[in-house]
Amino acid sequence: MIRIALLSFEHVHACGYAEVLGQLQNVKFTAFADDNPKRRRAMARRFPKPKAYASWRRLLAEAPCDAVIITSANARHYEMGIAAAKAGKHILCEKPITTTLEDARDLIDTCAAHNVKLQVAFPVRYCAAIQQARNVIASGELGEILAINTTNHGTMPGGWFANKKLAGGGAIMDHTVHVVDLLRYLLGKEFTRVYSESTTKLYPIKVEDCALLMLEMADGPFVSLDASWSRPPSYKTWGNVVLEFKGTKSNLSLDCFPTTLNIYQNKTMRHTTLSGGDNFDREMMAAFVDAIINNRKPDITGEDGYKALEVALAAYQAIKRRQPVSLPLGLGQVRAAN
Amino acid sequence: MLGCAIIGAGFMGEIHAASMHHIPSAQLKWVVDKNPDRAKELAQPNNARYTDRIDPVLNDPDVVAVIHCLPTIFRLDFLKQYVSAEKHIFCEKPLARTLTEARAIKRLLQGYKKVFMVGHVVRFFWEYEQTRQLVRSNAIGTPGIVRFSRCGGFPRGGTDWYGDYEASGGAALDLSVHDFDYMLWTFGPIKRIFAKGLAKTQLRHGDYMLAILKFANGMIAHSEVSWAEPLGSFFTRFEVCGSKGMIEFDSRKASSFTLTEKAVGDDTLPGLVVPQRAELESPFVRELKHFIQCIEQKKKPLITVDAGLRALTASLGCLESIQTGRPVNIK
Ligand SMILES: NC(=O)c1ccc[n+]([C@@H]2O[C@H](COP(=O)([O-])OP(=O)(O)OC[C@H]3O[C@@H](n4cnc5c(N)ncnc54)[C@H](O)[C@@H]3O)[C@@H](O)[C@H]2O)c1
Repeated sequence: MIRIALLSFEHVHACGYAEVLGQLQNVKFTAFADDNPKRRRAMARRFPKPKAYASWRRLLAEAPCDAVIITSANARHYEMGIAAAKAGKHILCEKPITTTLEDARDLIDTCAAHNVKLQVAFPVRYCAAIQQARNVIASGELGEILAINTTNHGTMPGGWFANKKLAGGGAIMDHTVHVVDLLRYLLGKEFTRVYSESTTKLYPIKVEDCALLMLEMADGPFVSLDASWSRPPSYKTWGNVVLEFKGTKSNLSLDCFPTTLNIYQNKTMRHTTLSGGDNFDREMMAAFVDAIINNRKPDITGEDGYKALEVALAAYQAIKRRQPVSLPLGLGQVRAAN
Repeated sequence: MLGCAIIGAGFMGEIHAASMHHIPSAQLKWVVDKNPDRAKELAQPNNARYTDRIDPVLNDPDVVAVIHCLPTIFRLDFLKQYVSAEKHIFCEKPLARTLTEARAIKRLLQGYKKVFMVGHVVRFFWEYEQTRQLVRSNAIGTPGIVRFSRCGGFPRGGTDWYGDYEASGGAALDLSVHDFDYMLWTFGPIKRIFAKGLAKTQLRHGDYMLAILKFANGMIAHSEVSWAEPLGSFFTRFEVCGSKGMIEFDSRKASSFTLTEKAVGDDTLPGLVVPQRAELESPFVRELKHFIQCIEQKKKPLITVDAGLRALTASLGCLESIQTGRPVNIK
C-alpha cells in the first residue's frame, strides 16, 4: 500500500489526480494541504477521507505518506519539491517541472541525493494513440519523418496561470512542454533549435496568450507548435493536442482528444463534446505507484521535465532575440532566459 | 462581346475556358499552347481557334483580353508582348517566379491604361470572403492568431514543371502565395517570417512547408502548405482566433456535393481536385467575371500588380528563410 498526499489544489489538474487516487487499489490518499481556506473546505467536502492541512510544510512533517503530488502554482513546485525530497517523499510533480533550469537541476539532484523518485506529470504520454504511434514509428512505417505540425490549444486558464511571477510565463510555459515531451518520447531524439513568435491580443493580461514555436531536431524533422490559449470560452471544448506527421512513406495524424460525441444541451445553450476512452491521469498515477513499488525508474523522469522546460525557456529567449536559439542552453543562457 | 484568348491550355486554362461559358458578355476566341494538340483539344469544343504561336492572337483586333495560364517561369516576356498589343491582362498567380521579374512587371505596367489583374482566386471563395467580412465587422474582436492550411497531393502539371522546384518554387511558393495574398488583404502587412521546408532536397514529387508570420499589427499566423498528401486529395482549412470569438473552416467538412472518383488500376489515379460547392457560384467564375466587369466598367481590379508583388514577396521570404535558417524581415 502506497500512501499519497497532495500538497496543494492550486492547479486545476489537482482534482483529477485526487479522484484517480481513490480508484487505485494499492493506494491510500492520506492527506492534502491547501493554504486557501475556502478551497480547503471545499476539497475537504469533496474528499472527506484524507486529512486536510492548512500548511503543506506541516503535512510533510506530520502526515503518514510515502509520496506527494505537487500541484501548486508553477513557481512553487521548487520549494515544495526540495522540502518533500528532503523529507524522503517520492514526488509526482505537475508540469512544468519548475520555472527555471537551475531550479529544475537542483530538484533533480536533490531527489537523487535523497533517493526518492521524481516523476513529472505528462499524462498525454499514456494516451493509447501515442503508444500506438510509438510502435508505428519504431517499425519504420512512416519512412523518414520530415515534418510535424502540432497544436496544443486551450482556453485561457486565468488566475495564477496568467501571472508571470507564479507561472513563469504565459501560454508558452503552459502549453509547450506536453508536445515537446511527446515528440521526444515518440522519436527518441532531442530538440536542437527553437524559434518563436508570440503576442497578447485576446485577453487583458500581461503574459502572452498566443504563441507559435518552430522547433528542430538533429537531422530533422522540423516541427511547428501552436501553444496558444486561443479557444474562446464559447468554444465546444477546452482545447486539443494534435500532432500531424509527414513521412517519406506515410502521413500520420494523432488527435489525443478526438471529438467522438457532439452534445447539445438546452440547459446551457452550448455545444460541447466528449472524447471518451482513455483516462490518462489514472494510467499515469498507476505507473508512478508501480515505479515506487517495484523500485524502478519512473517512465517520465525529472530529466524529461528539464528538457521540456528548456524548450519553453528557449522560446522566450528566441522571442527576445528575434533569432532561433540553439539547444542545449548553456549556463549563461540559462540565467538570461529568466 | 469581349473577345478573349487563353494562353496555356493546361489545368488552369481549362478551368478558365469553362468559366467563360458563364459570362455572357465574353467569348473565347483563341487558345494558345506550345503543344498544338492541347490547344486544339481545348479550342474545338469551345468553338475557338487554336495556335502554338502568340502573334496571330495578339494581332487579332477581336481579342481584347488575354488570360495568361502558363507555368510560373513564363511571365515577363509574355506580358511585354500583351502590353505592346494593348490587351487587357489576366495573369495567373503567382505574379512571377522571382522578385526581380515581378518588379520588372510592375515597371512595365506603370501607366498602363488597360486592366491588369492577378489570379488570386482565394479572395473569391465564399468562406474566405465571408470570414474577412466577419473579421472587419468585429464579429470575433481583435484577431490574435490565425492558422491557414492548403494541402494536396502533388500536382501533375502537363509537363511536370511543378516537379522542377527552380521553376515552380515548390509548394512553399506555389501554394503559400494563395494564403499570403488573402492574409495580407484581410489582416494587413506582414513584418517578419520564419519558415521551414523541404525545398528540393527531400521529396522528388512532394513538398511541405510550415511558417510562422508576425504581422505589423502584432498578430501572429501559422501557414502550412503541402504537396505531401495522397495523390488526388486536396483540402484547405483555417481558423481565426480573436478576443471575442473564433472562426473555423475545413473544406473537408464543408462540402455540399462530394463525388469520389475510385481509382481502378494505376493509370486512372485522379488528378488535382478542386473543392466545389454546388450551391455557390464557382470562385473561378466570380474571379473571371470581376475581370471582365473591370474591363467593361473601366474599373481598377481587386487584385493589382502591387497585391501580386506583396504576396510573392512573402512567399519568397519563406524560401529565403528556409535557406538561411533565419527569420526574414519583410519590407
Ligand atoms: N489559381 C489557382 O488555383 C491555380 C491552380 C493551379 C495553377 N495555377 C497557376 O497557373 C499557372 C499554370 O498552371 P497549370 O497547373 O495550369 O499548368 P499546366 O502544366 O497544367 O499547364 C501549362 C500549359 O502551358 C503550356 N506551355 C508551357 N510552356 C509554354 C510556352 N512557352 N508557350 C506556350 N505554351 C506553353 C503547356 O503545354 C501546358 O499545356 C501556374 O502559374 C500556376 O501557379 C493557379
